[in-house]
Amino acid sequence: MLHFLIRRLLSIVPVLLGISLLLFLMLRMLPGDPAQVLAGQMASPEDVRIIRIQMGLDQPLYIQYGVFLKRLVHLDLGVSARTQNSVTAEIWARLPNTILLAVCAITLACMFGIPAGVIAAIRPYSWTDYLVTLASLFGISMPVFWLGLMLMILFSITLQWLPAGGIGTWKHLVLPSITLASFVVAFIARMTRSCMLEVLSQDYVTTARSKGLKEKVIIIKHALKNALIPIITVVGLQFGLLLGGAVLTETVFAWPGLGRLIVDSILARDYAMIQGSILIFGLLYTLVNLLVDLLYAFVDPRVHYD
Amino acid sequence: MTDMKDVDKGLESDENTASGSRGWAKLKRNRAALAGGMLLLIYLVCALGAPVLFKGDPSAPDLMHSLSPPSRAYFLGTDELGRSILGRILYGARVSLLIAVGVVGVGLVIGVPVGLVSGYYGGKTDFIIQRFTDMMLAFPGFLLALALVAILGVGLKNTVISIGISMIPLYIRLVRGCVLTVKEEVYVEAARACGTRDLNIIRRHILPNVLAPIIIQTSLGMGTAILFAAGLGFLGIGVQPPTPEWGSMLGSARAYMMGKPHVATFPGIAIFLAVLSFNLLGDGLRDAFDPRSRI
Amino acid sequence: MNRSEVPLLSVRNLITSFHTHDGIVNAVNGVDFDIFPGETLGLVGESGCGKSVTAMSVLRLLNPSSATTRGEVIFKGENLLAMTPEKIRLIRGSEISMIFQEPMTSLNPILTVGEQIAESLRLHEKLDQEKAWEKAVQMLKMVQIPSPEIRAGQYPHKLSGGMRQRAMIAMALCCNPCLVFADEPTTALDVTIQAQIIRLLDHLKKGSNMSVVLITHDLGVVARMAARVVVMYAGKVVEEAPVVPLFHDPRHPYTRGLLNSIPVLKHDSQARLTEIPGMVPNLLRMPEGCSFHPRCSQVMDICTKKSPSMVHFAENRRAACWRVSDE
Repeated sequence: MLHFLIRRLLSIVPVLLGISLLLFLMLRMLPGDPAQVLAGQMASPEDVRIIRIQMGLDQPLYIQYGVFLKRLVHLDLGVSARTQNSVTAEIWARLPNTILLAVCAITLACMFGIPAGVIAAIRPYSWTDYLVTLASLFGISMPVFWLGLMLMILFSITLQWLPAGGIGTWKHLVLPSITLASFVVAFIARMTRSCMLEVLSQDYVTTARSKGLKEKVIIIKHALKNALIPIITVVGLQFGLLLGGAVLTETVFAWPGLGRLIVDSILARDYAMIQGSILIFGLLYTLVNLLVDLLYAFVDPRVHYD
Repeated sequence: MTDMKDVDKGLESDENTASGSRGWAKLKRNRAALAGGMLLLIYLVCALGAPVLFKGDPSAPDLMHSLSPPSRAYFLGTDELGRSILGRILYGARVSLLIAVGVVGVGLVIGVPVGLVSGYYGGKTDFIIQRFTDMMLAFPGFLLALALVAILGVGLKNTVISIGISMIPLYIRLVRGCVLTVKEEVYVEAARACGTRDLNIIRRHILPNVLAPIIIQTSLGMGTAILFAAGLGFLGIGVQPPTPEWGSMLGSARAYMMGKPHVATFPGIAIFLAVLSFNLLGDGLRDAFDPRSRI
Repeated sequence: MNRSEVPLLSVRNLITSFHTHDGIVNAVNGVDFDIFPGETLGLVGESGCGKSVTAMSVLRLLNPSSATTRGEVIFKGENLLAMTPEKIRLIRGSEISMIFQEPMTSLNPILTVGEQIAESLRLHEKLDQEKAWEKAVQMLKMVQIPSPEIRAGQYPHKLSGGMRQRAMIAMALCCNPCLVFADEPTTALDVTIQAQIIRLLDHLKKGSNMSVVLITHDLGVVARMAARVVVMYAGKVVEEAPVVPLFHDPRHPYTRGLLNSIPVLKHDSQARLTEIPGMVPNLLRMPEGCSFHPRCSQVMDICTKKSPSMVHFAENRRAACWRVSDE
């Protein structure tokens, strides 16, 4: 098990290297002088010169990348042109908020999506199935930011039950979580439905029926447990969508997370911050997929650790 | 040689028409797909016929009538600059259609050939291409588009390029996967054994077989493209005003929706219906032509 | 065999239809037969003749949204087809159980072998967790799985095909059923393993008073285990006879064809191995008259026009063929 864990952890190293290379090249692709860009519009020529030397821009590209990597390992992502704070510190301050929102959303999505998919699969082509299928299709077609605005109009402006934005109490968390969960729940319900349909047609489900087991036991113990294996994978992949959705949701509800940080940075052309926060998003996504892989091995006895 | 060619041609066309005609019959029975097709038709009519359906300039401000609620003169009301929301939605349909076609075009033109080469030739080429797609897929799609916009800058063209690039790895993966399964089929091996040139094998045997998944992905991809573009527009880093774009309409509506909810409601419905039409159709196409793959 | 006995299970005019896109298909079309306590009945026919569907229909294991079953299945005086779902559920696995063809796919991959046996015991025998596990291990021992204590805690993928089928048998027999349907229990296995499994089934059968319906296309297996044989073709019973007379004096041309296609190893054997020509008919386009006539070597005029009815021509023997009714 430990061996497996270490091997799996090592396997994300190339991916992380890839991400960092992509982001490194991104800054080099920027029009104009990266030193000027990093220093910001207001910087004096002297500042730009200092930054150029600091960044080693006079060195060949691969050495620059090496230096970039070295700083990365030391969690040094540079200084924000917009706030003059260290990028790492800014990200560190926002990260917990985004994780809180994402975890709430994914929990909500699983809580509703999995049962909905199971119910649809038990009676395929019945009206409950059509309802779930249609609702989930609506869910994935709905722009999250628009749903957020509509929920805000209804619950914050008209009914005044919940705050329209910001962070603080659990009440602030409700609308952003629902908004963010909305289309992930749809994906999970669809995936659960098709996985369950597949599993319910398997021979071992017939075997379970021939043993006289209760339908509930067959569906939960024999079918759902098997279907969960692919579902977990999809939930992991959906986490990427969730992070994308977080950018929009956080903007709608003025939620001080990483997503809004990216948008603000893009609008302010704060490249060090963009680079840093996208790097963290990539890292987060990779880690979640790693976690899913480990969970997978835990749920499926056929996966070998060695 | 010619005989063999005819034989494997026969095999191939048999395969295609058999699954093809059954697929069409299934598609016609699928009410959801039909509804999607109808919605799509309406959307296309709006997009292509916007100048006929709406007289006047959708971007010309008319401050006398700003933020008026739906009325007989302004069917869906007006925005903060007094522009007809109906007109902007109709013209917005053109913009989103343009984006959807452009994005999918970028994805197809680059993704399909690369996927074909990667799957057909395998080996080192395949390895390098796959590592590259892994790298791109390490970023969630929308974030990749966001990052690209950050580099390229805002605007219609850059929106298309950014979202298009973010979709390339999906096409590469899809096409490569299909090619790998088709490659092992008997008729492809037979064609190869007869000494048919690679390019001919790809064109005559492999491409027709990966066509169905590509079409399905294209339909779903257009929906995603519209969603992504609207997202970028909403954040203010996509298509820029005064071009009527649904996402940016919602973005500017945020400030006024407190008292005038209609400004935020209708553009959202437009996005929703357009995306829904592509998703319904894509779903129906998948059920009819490629029932094995799901999600 | 004592025919005055009351049958354990009587199947009467069983019709199972599937709803397909191209129309309704009767996979089982008016089947009847009896099973008596303690006997082994062979249900024989080519694949697609409806023998597996018959077994599935009796236990009502087919998906009701795609298949409907009519007729009567009387088990201990009650019609299984008219029972409430709850009632038949309690009969499944306890009084009537089933062994399936594919040991590779018929066991749940994410539950241990022991748990899959024990859950039946907890349900039907009301044993507690510990007792059920003990009994499960005992069952694995009974089906001759080496080191059953260890195997019980393993997942199916760790077991070989033969061992899985043994586990499947243990699962089917754990609640002492009085009737077992064994649906091609050896088809998916290697030849040597097949013999072992048949020996095991035969051995287990002899030690109890349970009845076995052995569903197979393998007449060798039937000759070894069954006392009586029902031959099916295209959803119908075409011949029924005790095993010895059937092998010596088959009456239906289809049975004869099946017997002729078994290879026999004899030094002086001049007999050629013959196949039945043609293919099993498509259930959507059944030939008129006797459904076997397009493949029959002794076809007569009437065979193409009218379907023959079942004739009881001797004690315990019947066949549906115009040649038989003419005699």
